[in-house]
Amino acid sequence: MADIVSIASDDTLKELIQQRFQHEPAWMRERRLTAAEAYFALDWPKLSRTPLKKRKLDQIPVFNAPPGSNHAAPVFRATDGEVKIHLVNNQVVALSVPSALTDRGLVLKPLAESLGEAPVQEHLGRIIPDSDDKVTALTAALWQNGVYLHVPAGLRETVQVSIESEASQQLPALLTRNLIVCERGTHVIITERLRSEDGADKMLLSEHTEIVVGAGAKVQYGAIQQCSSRVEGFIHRAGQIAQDGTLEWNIGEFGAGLVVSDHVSHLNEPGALTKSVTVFFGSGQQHQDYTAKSYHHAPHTTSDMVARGVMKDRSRSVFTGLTQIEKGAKGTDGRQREQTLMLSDEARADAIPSLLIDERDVYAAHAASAGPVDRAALFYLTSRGLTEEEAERMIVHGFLAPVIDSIPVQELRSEVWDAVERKIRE
Amino acid sequence: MASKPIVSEEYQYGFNDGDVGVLKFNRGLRRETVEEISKIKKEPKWMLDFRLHALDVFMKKPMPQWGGNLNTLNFNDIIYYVKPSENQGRTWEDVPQAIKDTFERLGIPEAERKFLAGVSAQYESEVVYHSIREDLKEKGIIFTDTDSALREYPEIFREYFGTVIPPEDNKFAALNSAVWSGGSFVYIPKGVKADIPLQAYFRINSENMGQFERTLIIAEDESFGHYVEGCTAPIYSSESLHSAVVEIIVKNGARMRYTTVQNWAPNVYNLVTKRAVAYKDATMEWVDGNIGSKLTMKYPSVYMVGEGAKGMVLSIAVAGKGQHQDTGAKMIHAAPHTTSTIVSKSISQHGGKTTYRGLVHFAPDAAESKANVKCDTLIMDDDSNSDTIPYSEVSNANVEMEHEATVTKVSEESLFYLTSRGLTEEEATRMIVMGFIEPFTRELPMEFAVEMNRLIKFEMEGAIG
Repeated sequence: MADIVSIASDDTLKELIQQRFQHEPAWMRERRLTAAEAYFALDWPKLSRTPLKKRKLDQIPVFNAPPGSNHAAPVFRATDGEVKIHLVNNQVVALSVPSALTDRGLVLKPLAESLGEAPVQEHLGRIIPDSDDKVTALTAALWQNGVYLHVPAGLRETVQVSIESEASQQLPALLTRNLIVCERGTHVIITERLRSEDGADKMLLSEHTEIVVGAGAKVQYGAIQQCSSRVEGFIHRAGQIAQDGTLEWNIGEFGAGLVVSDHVSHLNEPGALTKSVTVFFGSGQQHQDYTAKSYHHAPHTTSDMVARGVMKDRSRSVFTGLTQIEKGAKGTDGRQREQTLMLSDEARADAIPSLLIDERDVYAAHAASAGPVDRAALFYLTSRGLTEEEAERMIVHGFLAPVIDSIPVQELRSEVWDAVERKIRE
Repeated sequence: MASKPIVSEEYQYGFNDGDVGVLKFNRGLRRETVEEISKIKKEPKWMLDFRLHALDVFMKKPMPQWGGNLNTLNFNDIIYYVKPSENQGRTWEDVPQAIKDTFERLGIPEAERKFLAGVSAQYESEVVYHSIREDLKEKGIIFTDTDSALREYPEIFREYFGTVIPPEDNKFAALNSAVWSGGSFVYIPKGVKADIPLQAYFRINSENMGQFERTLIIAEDESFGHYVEGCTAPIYSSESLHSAVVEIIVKNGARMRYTTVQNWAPNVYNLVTKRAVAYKDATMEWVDGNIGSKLTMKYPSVYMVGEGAKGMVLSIAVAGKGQHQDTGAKMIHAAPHTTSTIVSKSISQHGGKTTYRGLVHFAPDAAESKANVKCDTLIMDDDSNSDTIPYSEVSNANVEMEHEATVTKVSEESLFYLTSRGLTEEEATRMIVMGFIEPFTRELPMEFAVEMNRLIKFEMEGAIG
């Protein structure tokens, strides 16, 4: 492992950027340098229910993390039909795109190699700002790599893409940016898997994923996060949806010691629709802070956000839902449902499902609930010969089944079930 | 779509009586202001110390940065104490004519004759009229103004005062603690049931007046009481401030209900802290109507600290032109087998804004507790808006929390149905609105409910009652 890089001021950080990213186009380097200034000016994220002070994030040697190598890693271009990219420590270890798709304009590349592409210049950092707080600024300044996916208009068949990102044992920081541009009329199913090896030291994981959904396009974005407990994770995902476009989120959150994760949908034009499903399972000392937001900027837009969580041991969760309907967004429909199953007295779950409505002609609703394992059901099951653990496991399954079974990709669905199973037995 | 206002922009109680005060402080708040209030009231030293400590807390605490817009509220423009008359009246004849006329226009003596067990009327900083039915007095019920209670019942007073809401709680509770004057003191002895309501009426008359009443209610074991308050003020071009503190202690097995119909003029900041502590098997009910004011920030709370305690908040908020009703409820489940219910109905119209802001908290000790929250909002026109911000905190596995909220317009289907049955659109809209707030009006004392319905009906027609 290289020597600890110590950075005390924006000058030294800027030097580091000039050095590490000298091969990048000037516009990108400028953006990094601006973010570097913001990094020193801004504070750590201020989350009312997730105090970060005692997590000592500033002691993680984030500057020591190497940049994603763009050229050294072997790149495989397979032709077996799979569209897949696999990164370890933000270095590409496998990449496969069938030539039938590349020939028709589909692009799947590491983002660090895509800075010459026009859509990257146009969209990167436009949905998730470069510098909201110290973590986003750090990510914008030093992001190592990520995925660029471009599905051009005219590609009629459903495209299934798998993104795998892993971090090794010693890595102090994984700073990732993904950009996904799905043009008019396309149908794209994306599955992202996020993992990390266990290790002694903390790791800062920060990811920005931006999704552009063109008119009439349908994007189904699924993600499963199973990082080890050394990870302090900050995951921002946001999409903008054009006329009659659809963006579906299917998020399974299981790992990391701390995770602050949000997904945001901007319904920019009439007919835009978003649906989101979040499944989370807290155990041990995990602290999870989730946010799902839908912004109705245009009339006749629809949002439906669902979350189900299971809390055991001494875990702590916060779920914030926000449905915001702007003035003039007539005929919109915004709904939220949030349910938590409490398995332990020492766990804590907070929910804040907000509705901010500036328009009369709408329907907006939310429902939230929290409760224990139904004792009548437990009694029934144990009286039929199941042990209490088995009975509880069945009840957890019954609680999560309606949302997990609505995940459209079979593979992701079974991985989410496997993760739930592991959490129950943990 | 009918756009007649539900609550008239023309406020019924906006008249003023000219300057009737016998003593009026200069504007602004200094240490001397607090000392002077305490001196006029001939208070014991501990109360002066309490006030001065609260003033320090007030000065140190920053303005809240959430809720409504408090930027135009200038504490130096406020008059902190106005004494309206030399003596408190025991009969109407004793009350100065101008003030008597006001309360007669507001219908207080009539209401008293009809259905109240006791009445207290506060004008500016002091209670000017007070009465209680003899039979209740004989049962040992104390119903007096808070200043008299400090003199006449110093022991009970000191035992409970400031224990539910300490000055440190928030900036406005600190302000009230420093400059409080008037308010009601109610003590219901063990096992006594006061089955007819006690009423207090609060009136601000002077421009830029700050009214800081302080109410303390103690319901001993197995007792019952119902306290009703109403508020109005004249309309001036500059703002007045109403910042009350209401502390309620509901002991084992007792039940207390507190009903408010706040109809302040649209230039009054209404920043109120209301909190009750409910002990074993006690029940606390807040029935809270917010119709007037420029900005109301009020979240009646129940701290359920004894096993089996129950809390209820039933509220409506109506926000018209230039108004923001930032209201809600807090339910703190701090003991096993506690139950709470929040039902909130909001209506925003003519550019008004309603915010429901609530909290349900289950502490680790709250096993087998339940909470149910239901918030519904009607947005009447294109200029109005509404926020719903509920917080829930669950730290125990054996609790059940349910929350539901909706934001809608008046349904076109219902309108169509009613108009096709021969109602005009206006009548139909009114009928739908009445149905929407019915869970609230149902819980008011009958005469209040009739008045409430009349108010809404008249005002929807744009008429002045």
